[in-house]
Amino acid sequence: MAQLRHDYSQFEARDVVVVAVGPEKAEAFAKYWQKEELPFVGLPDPQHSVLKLYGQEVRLFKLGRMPAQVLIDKAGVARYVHYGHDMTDIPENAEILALVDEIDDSTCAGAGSPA
Amino acid sequence: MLMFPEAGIPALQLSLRNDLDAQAHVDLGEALGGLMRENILVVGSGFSFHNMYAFDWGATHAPDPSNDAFHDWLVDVCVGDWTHQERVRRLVEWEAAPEARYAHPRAETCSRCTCAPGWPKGRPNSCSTTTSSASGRSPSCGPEPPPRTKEPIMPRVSLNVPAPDFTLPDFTGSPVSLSDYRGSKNLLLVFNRGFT
Repeated sequence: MAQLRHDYSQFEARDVVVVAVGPEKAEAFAKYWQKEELPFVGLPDPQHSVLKLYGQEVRLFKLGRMPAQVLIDKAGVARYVHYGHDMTDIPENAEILALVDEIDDSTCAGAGSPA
Repeated sequence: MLMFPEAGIPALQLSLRNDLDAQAHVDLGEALGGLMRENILVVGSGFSFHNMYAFDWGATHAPDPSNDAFHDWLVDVCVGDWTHQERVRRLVEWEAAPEARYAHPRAETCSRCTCAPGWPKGRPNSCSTTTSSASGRSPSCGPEPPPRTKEPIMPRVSLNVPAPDFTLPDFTGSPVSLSDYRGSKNLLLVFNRGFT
């Protein structure tokens, strides 16, 4: 999360909204968001509904949840999915930003989808 | 890890009881047996031979009739044509088996074996044996597996198709839908592992 916040202006510049989903309760989100001054949308999902819908890997009892990232373009289409295999398996910001650039290019070159 | 390298399947490890009560472990195996009908794999693993002093560390493959005697007994108990009751009785009394205490100087190394045959009532339809370089051998037995369900345990997101929509209240209580951003924003959806 800190990693994403660090380059948030670059995400913003590319019209990327960061939405974080986690199994924690709203209070835990609020506390953490305040403490870390996070500019992201935070969605508590204690029922695991979205987590299951998007298939985040669950390793019960031992390591908690593996990180996962999904990049969705302006047309609502999933363009990139990364399922982490361990806690440190998080893609670099630069990697995601480059993907957004690619998506924007292909969207412009395509049917001229609304920007 | 070899069977499921993506580790997308939760695994739960069970310990033996402190008292190493063989009957209790058979009962445990029976209690777990129902899980196999829910497409849950139950694995009991161990060596039929666990005498660390007598291990063939140099891998000389020298014959060891005592090792064979216990191993053959164990395979026979697991898959031999015994009634369930008789199979359980023999397992519970495993210390009376030929060379039992040579193969298992410590009881806990054999207690794992007593768990497994509790799973199927009736004779397992297969028994496979692997041999390690140190001549410890490990029979593993199982009933016919239940038919595999086609449904994946965890759906995954497909690329280049619309991402599944959802609505959840954010932590301040305002509802957020994926579709709110359609046409205006790219979205990086981050599934977090928790706040530390």
